[in-house]
Amino acid sequence: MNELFNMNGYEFYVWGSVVCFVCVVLLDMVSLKTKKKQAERKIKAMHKRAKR
Amino acid sequence: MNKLIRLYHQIGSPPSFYQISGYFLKPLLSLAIVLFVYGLIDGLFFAPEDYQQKDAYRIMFVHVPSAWMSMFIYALMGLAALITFVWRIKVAEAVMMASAPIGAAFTVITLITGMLWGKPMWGTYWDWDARMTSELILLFLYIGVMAMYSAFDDDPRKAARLTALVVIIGLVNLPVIHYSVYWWSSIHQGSSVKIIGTSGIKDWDMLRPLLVMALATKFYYGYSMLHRARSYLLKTEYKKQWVHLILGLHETKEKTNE
Repeated sequence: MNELFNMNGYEFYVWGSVVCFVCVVLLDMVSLKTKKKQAERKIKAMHKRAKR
Repeated sequence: MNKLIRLYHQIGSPPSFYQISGYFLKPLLSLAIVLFVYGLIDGLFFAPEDYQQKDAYRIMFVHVPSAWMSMFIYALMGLAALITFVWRIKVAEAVMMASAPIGAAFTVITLITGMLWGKPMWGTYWDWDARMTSELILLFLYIGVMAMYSAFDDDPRKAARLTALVVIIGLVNLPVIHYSVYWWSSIHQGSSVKIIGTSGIKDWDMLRPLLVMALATKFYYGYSMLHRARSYLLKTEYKKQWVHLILGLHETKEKTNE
């Protein structure tokens, strides 16, 4: 198993790059879901306020 | 032809865009995930070792597609900015503003992975080289665009027009990034893929994962951009009836009126 992940001394740089890529993409996915929820919550709150 | 014109008008209208784009979200995300997994496994475990850079070159499979995306997204933003500035189409505003954070994310990946590639190859994480500096300027441009829009958030239409102007001016940075390695002496290598000429990667086993990753990042951008553009339209069109209908607020309003 170790051999599979061994990059001939470049493990830190290669796996570091892959981890960075995956983390940034995941962060983007989380942030876009949050943005949508925030927008919906804001509109619903404004609608409630307008109703009063 | 009539169908094309009708489609153009449909896509230009926020409610139609919201509805049509909704159909593309899941397929785009599924394609992106499948291609990401395939491209990474192929590039990291099956692509042959480079004769000069050994396994360190595998950073290319995340670095190069991200670098392409950082410029591709800005070019698309430039086009959307032009449409926003000239025709004031709201969907173009949404595409422009939705693209900025994704472009910034890919630029961050490019810079970090570039640094991680630079250390074992050049002996340094950072050098004020033309390619690296112009890519850093691109990140500042993305941040500037988002900051500019936030500064005028109370008037989204005005904010979008001013931001569009900044995006258009920033387009000048794209050829600088692309040609920097040819115009100035640089420690950065030339293009990894060239359609014309003998330089660049020619081994199909190396090229395949790179192209798959490039395609995956395009699909992911499509997904993320449409998702964000939909949120943008909801936020800016919150007074419109179609938004109330989508969020299920319509019935409540009618009942209140009764």
